[in-house]
Amino acid sequence: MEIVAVENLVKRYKELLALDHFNMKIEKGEIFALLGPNGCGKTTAINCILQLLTYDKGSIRLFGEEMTPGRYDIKRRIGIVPQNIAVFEELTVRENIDYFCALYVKDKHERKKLVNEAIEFVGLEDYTKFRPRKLSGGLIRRLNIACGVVHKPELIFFDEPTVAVDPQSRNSILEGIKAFNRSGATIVYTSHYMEEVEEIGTRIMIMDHGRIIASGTNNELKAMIGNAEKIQIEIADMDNVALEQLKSLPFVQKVCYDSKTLDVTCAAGNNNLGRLLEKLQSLQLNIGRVYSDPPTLNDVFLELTGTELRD
Amino acid sequence: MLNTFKYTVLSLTRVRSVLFWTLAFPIILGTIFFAMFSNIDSSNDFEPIPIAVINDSNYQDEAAFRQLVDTLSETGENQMLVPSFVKEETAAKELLKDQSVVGYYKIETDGKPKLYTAVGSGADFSTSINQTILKNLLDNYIHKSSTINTLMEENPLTLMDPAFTENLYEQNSYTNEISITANKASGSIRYFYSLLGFASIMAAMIGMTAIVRTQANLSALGARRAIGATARAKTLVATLVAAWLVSYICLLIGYCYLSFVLGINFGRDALSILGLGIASFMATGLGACIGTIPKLPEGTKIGILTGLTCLVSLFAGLYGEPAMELADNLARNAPIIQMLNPARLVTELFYSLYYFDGYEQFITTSLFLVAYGLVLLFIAATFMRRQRYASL
Repeated sequence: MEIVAVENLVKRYKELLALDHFNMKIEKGEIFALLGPNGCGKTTAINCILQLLTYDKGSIRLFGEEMTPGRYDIKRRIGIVPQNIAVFEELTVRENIDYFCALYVKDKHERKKLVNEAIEFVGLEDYTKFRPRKLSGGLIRRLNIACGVVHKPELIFFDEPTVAVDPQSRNSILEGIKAFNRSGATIVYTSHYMEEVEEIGTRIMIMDHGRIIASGTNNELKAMIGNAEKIQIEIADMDNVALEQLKSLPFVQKVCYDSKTLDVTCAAGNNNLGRLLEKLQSLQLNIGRVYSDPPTLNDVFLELTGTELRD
Repeated sequence: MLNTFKYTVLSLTRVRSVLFWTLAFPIILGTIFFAMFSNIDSSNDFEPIPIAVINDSNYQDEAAFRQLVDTLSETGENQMLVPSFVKEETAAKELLKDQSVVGYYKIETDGKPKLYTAVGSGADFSTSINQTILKNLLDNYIHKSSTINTLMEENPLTLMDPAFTENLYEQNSYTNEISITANKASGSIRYFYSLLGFASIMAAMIGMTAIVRTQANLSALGARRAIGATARAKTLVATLVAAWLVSYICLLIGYCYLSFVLGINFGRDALSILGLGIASFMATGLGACIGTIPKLPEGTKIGILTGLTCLVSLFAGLYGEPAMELADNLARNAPIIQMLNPARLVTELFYSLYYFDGYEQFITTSLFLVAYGLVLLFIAATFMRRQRYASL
């Protein structure tokens, strides 16, 4: 069942085309990762889906129904953990979570139970009477998450929830997201941290300049790019003749020798490492340690979006 | 909706800057005003006149004069004299020299009382007035006693007629004292009205802060709340009612401090409390209106509101005599400007309660303030009710 169905969404900020016929379909139970550089349109897409932003064209359907600002019945099934911390500075941790829970749940007793569960879930039991300014960056992020998921929504949007948090908190947040998903929630996760997306995303969409440039599972995306493997070998002495011979190999895309280290980028294919070592032995070179790295999502991302600096 | 109301009240009462400007600052300013102006009003009040009386055998022989002195010295609101009885005239002169007394009464050997006062340029204005009062008292006594003595000698039977004696003792006055205001006029009370006007406009800060937190285009918190499953109208109504209540409580606390701690008499308390409710309603509308101005950060809006408060308070006469003259001149020559000045309107509201016997002025000003608040809320609503924005 399609939980989110966005078709041909177009959003302009005056002259800037923020979303260019953007399409997105998310199935129930997925952890859908929306990946892209800063300013690529991730947050704009989410804000359009949540009806915070107007859009010029396109349709948005959630849970099979058209989404409009007044569809509170649909909103009740959605949770949002925004990129910016959105809590009351003057309310305590418990008061904040209770306030956001009350936006969705009217019954006082049910709310109390849900608030306690959310506090336990994000591990803020020792901080319930603290105000946000007394919390560390990681704890505040956890409070932000608790406020977004306390009502146990079926669909949760996490908009870069791990920005500026320490590795322990990041790990805790990612584990939490996986737990939400195991409990049946569909997750939409935006980030530009490749390793996070690689870790939790069941399906990944890469977007840039408001357009989708690739979509698929982790392995499907890696298979899309030309460079399949990076091999690094320590070699004491290597001359230009040997380098030229390596470059002429059909599966070798790029060769670089510097400070007694040879870096070779190979095209997709089987047994690249074996064939490369065979060639080096034939050239009678002294081979030291050998490293072989399969392609990462980072490689995919950089190849698809380019290496120029973004805002 | 109830939770939105509850947590808006809780959060607003914990914003330190809001509490300072709307609660602490008017209280501090009120205390400063009280310290500055407490002498102004007391200087207009009549104080019993200190006088020495030579208590010798002549004085003891004049029973009628003794009774006059005793009667005028009786403690209470009609007390006119604070006598110091001395045996010798030299002691009375010493008291006069020390300025402990304004003068002294002495019964001369012929049995007639006489007033002695200090002569020269040393006497200030209030001493001169007191000397005149003492002289008038004595002249009146001498005149009346002379009349009675003459009658006793020439026609004592007339003194047996109660109607005649009553007429004799009656104090004739050819002027009639009437009160044209509901309360006694006070030179400093206008400052406190202006202060209430100032506090009311400052209370708009509460409405502004509350509304900024509901607007998706103004704060991250506003955006997060806008996505929630509670109807927009319910959120806004609960927020505005909470802001009004907090403003009202802040003004009430300020009012109670001025009224019960500093002892400022604002006239009719029950209607004053109603007036504060109306003033805080207008202030909430003003705050909401400024709060919804798009594309301005909250700090800028606080600056706008503070500047506006200082400006309208100037035209409400908050900053002393020249400002009051300016306010009065504007009211005479440009009444529309003053009618649009919210601080002036609040000042007028309390002014009408203090000085006017009837309620017409109070009701008129109240209705105007309510209408003012409604117009401001209507303007704010055109921005507030939006749920989607072209950009955030």
